[in-house]
Amino acid sequence: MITEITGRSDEIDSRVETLFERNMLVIFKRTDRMFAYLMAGQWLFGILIALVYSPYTWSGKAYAMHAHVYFAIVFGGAISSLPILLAILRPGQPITRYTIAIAQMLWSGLLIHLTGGRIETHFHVFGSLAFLAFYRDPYVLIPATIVVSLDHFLRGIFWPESVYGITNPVWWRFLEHAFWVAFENVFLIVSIRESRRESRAIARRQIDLEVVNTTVESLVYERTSELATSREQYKALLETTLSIPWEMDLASLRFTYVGPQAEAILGYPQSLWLTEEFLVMHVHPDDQQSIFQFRNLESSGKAEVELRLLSVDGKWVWMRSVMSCGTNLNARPVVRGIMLDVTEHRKLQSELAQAQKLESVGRLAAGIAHEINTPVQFVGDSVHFIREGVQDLTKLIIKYRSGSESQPRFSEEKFSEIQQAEEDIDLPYLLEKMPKAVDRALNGLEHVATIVRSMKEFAHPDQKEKVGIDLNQSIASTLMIARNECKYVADVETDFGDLPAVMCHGGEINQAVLNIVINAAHAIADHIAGTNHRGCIRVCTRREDDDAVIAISDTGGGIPDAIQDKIFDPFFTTKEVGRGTGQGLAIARSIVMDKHGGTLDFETEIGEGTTFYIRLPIDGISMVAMAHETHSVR
Amino acid sequence: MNMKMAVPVMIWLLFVGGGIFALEKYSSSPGLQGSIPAEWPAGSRLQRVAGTPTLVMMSHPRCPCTRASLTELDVLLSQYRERLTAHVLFIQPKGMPYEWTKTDLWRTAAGIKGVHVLVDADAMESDRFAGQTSGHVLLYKAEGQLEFSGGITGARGHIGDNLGLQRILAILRGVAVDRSDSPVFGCPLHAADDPIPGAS
Repeated sequence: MITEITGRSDEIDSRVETLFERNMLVIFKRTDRMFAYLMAGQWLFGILIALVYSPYTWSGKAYAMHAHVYFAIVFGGAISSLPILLAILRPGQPITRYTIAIAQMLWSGLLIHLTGGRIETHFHVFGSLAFLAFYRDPYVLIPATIVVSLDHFLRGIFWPESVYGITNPVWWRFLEHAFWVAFENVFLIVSIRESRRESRAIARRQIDLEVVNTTVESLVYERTSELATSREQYKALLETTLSIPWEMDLASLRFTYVGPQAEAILGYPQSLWLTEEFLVMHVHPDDQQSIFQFRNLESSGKAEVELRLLSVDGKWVWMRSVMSCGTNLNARPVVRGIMLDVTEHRKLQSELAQAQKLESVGRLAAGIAHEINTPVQFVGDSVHFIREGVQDLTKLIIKYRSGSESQPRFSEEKFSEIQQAEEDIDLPYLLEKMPKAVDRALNGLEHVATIVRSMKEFAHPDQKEKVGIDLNQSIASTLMIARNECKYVADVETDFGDLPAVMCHGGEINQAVLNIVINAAHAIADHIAGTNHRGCIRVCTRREDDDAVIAISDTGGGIPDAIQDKIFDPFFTTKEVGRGTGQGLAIARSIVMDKHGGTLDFETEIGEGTTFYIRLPIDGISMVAMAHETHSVR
Repeated sequence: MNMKMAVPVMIWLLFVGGGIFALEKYSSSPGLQGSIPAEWPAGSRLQRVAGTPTLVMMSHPRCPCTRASLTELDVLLSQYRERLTAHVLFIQPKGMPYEWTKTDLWRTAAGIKGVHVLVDADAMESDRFAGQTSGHVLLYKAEGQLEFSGGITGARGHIGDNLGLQRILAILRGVAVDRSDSPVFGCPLHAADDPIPGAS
């Protein structure tokens, strides 16, 4: 930075020299201009002098215009014309000032003539030299001195008496005059050198000042840029996140500032937020009390509040505010805070509670299934034993009855009692119905056992490694679990093809199939709502090359184009709160694709239904990562 | 130097150099001198003082060059006022009124101590001395012999050191001079078509 401020010495020197030359040029031009005026003035003055002192030349009583007048007009004009012209056309150039120097000395000569050689007019020479020194160019004195010297030298040769008053001066007499000119030149040159030195010093100070100014400007620019960047960052941080910064006048409960995000979240223009009563008018009636508690915040106190605000489309949006008290620039108490839309968070909380509830129910069901299994087994065994016993007893009773009728071994009285007892219990009826009742009990137990087995299979504990699974059996168990979701709205059909054991995590595949089947049941339910129709869920399996394919079709309403790209997104759902979490298809896709290297596609037709295809590598090894989200639409 | 400007500057230098030459030439061109009487003219009405030389300057009352001659005369008389008699004659050409002669030159001459300023009606007195150029100075000894005849300026209307004044001063100091004349720079006392008495 210091290097930048000071710059290199030779560079500074160069800049100083440039500025000095520029300043000198200004001086040259300014002095040229002054001399241009002087030339014109001298010309007029010369004419005036001629007209006053020697207007006419006389011969007796005859007179004519004096030659001095002609000389003043013509010769004076000639002397002044070129310097004036150069001062206008070539200001600042050396030839201009050198020509001016010559002309000025010629003017001295002319004026001396016009004033009759008055000694006072000779001061014009010295005054002119001093005036020429205004150029601060010592070289300009050279042509002036040459002109004076040459004038005296030539006049000393041709008209010695007119200049020296003698007829035969020594040839170097002109040097006497030149000496005094040189004498003055010495002082002028010293003065010029001093002046140039000061000018150069001024230029150096000016450059130093410019360097400092540039440095300061650079620093100011840098700081301003940093400030602007910081401000932009701050603004971006504040106004481009979902959090809405706000400030509220504590007394009126009126927003004095809200971030632009507020408009996007609730739909109201920013200006509306700043109106009186906005908050009171748009807060949920149950949350009204919360906003008035703002005023109870102590100075520098902090609080968190969640309340509902009415969006422009009529929905209640949960907003959480973290706020603190303070004062604004006018020392008025204000509350400042950050407001965040937590509606989705609230919804997820609800979903999570529902999921946790379902998980608990699932765990309970799994536990019950486990607990039921053993008693159901021994109850079944017992009922089997009872059935066989009843069959045997029935045979025995029939033999007793037939034997006693043909060869009565009991007394008449006793026999009558037995017959009465048989009639009382309606023995024929019992003998007919009891085996059937035992069969029904056994069927029921078998069904309970199937359900329990299915639940156990469905709740297959996760293995770290894939194992060979009978996919058809596994799907059958899953369908059993899902039976309750389906039986009121759809018939479930299966068409299982021959499949080898598929290497997979059985429990997770069951979960994926279950999610798709439940989605299918829900889709059918939505589609047939208000009608007496039933839908159909058809589950097929088949082998295609090295893959096992599970196709799950429903006769629901199909998936609209607008949401086809979103159905695998986590938490995307079209179901009402409590009926679905939006995780089902996302989990299914994750299981099939991420954990098994398979694919999950679908075909759909609006009004006709949807078919999901699960494709799993039979050997459990996916050689090619299939395009995850490809799907076709009929 | 800008060579494009060198040519016009050279032309200008030649022009102004020529102008200077013409001016010098003009300024250094003396007027005519007639045959000055070697003895004091008998008919002269100018008064002489016995025992002192007499100086006569013939002047045109409106000749601007004569202003320098009067200045030099003043210088001369400032030293020898007491030792000579000085007359300045301002010619009054025929037909011109008396007031015509009362110019600033007259007043200048009248202001010089020791000078007798006279109007020379019809230039009669000047003619006696054969004067033809304004500023012509004659110095006659007390005895009446001409000692000097010429101008007392170095050039036309130019004050300053000059041969005439130096020679007169030398004569008055009694120093021998190589010449007793000098060129006269001034206007002609007579018009070109006037008969000039004693013209040489």
